Amino acid sequence: MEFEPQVIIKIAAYVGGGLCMGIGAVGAAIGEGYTAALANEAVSRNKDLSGDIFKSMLVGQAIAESASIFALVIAILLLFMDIPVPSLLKASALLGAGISMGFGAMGSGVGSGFPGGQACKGISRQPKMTGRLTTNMLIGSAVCQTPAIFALVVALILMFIDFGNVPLNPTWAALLGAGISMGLSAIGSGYGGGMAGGASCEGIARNPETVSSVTTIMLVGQAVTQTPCIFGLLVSFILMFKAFPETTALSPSMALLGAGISMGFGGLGPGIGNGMAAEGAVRWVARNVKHQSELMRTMLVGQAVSQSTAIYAMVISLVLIFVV
Amino acid sequence: MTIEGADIVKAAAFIGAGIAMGFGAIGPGVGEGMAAAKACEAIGKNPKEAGLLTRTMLVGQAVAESTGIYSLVIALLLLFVV
Amino acid sequence: METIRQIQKKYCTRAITAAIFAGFFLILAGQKPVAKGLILATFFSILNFILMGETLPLRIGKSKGKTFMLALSSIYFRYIILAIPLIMSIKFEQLNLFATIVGIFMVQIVILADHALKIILSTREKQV
Repeated sequence: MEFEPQVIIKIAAYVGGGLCMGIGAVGAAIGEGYTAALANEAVSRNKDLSGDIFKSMLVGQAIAESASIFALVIAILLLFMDIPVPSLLKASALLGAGISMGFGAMGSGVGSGFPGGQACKGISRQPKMTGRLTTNMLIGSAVCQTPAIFALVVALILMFIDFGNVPLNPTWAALLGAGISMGLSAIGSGYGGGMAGGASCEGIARNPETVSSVTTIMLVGQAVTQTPCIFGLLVSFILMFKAFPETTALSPSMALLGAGISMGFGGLGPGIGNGMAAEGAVRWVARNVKHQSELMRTMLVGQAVSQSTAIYAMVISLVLIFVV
Repeated sequence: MTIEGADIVKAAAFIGAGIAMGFGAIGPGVGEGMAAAKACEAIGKNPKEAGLLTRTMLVGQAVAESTGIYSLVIALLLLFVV
Repeated sequence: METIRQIQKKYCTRAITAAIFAGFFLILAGQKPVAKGLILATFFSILNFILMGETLPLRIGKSKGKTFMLALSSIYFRYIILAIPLIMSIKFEQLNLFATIVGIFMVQIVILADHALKIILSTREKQV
């Protein structure tokens, strides 16, 4: 069975676009469902405040949805753009772009639902803190979008850079691997960052005096939570821009694909774990602000240990890229 | 493209190494995060025992880490021995 | 519902003013496609924001699964609308693609800028 390159590229673009929009929208919908569930609780607790709660929910959702709008942009570009150089390499790059953006938007979409929901709940508990809670929610969800922005950058590079004169055989796997590495590792960081943001909104509502400590520790925790997806970004940049020698064998390309899988899935767990650690620390700083420094230290130690598995995954993928 | 037996074995070993390390890192990553979250909770409740609690957390995490190290070992075996 | 309308009005007017101002200067600078793309996409961004507000109260008082399905269908419906300016800018030369992409995030940019300004002002007050 023989296919024209043009046909294969179209197939890759459509599959990539479909994946991108499908998975990206599901993430946002799960996040919105969570927000709505907590908003429901909040409205039933305090009917008079339903206006404020809806207001904060609307603003939060507008920001939370930006990840899935990124996915929409990439999907539409994949579906409708004219591809200038029809080559088989471009086909795998387009598929990689779809995977990167689709999975990348999923984590951020789910994650940014947590601050939104907790902020709604917090408003019903502490109506006086409405403004501060909304601001904090927006900071939390905006930081959650970073993994999605990384995924967007990788997807745009995969789509628009002309990889031109590189050998087809190992490079197709490198481009696909770059997408997998970025997309999957962004899920963990997006989800984890959201957990920290949600805990901070809950903490502020419980104990309004602790606003500044809670926000600081949330930002530190979220920053550490982004590390696995920064590893993913690093690996995918290496995979995209390193020149690989041409081969006719199968094993070099499988090594590059394996590097992407290793870093992608390897970044997923530590991202969620780091988020959990940050969530615990933020929640208890709000309740026990006197011992902020101990909690911060424990959180950072715990996150560092949880990070180590992501570092193993990165080592394996670097070995797969550079050594074998 | 000619595919030989040895080449297929190597290709499978490489992709297997990637899968082993990738999936193997999910569990310990999440588990260690849970341990850290609970340690923070305990320190929040009982700050006096912070030293002991941090130590306990590290022991627990080290045990959880071992599965991650097993995956690493398997991945390295697949890369360099097979 | 009143407060939702208020906040929508506030952010929508700001977004469209920002887009029209930017578009005006871009036209003066001779960048007509950029300006057109920006303003058109901002209109759709606002439409999306208004529709989002309309569907929010529907989700209250339903089971979790139902809310998820409702959210998902609302997202797909609204994104079909958001896709229109993107497709137009890919197909027609008169609209700049990059400006269109920036334009569909106009409401988000305005919201974040508003809150960033608030944070900066409040820290400055503390210092004085």
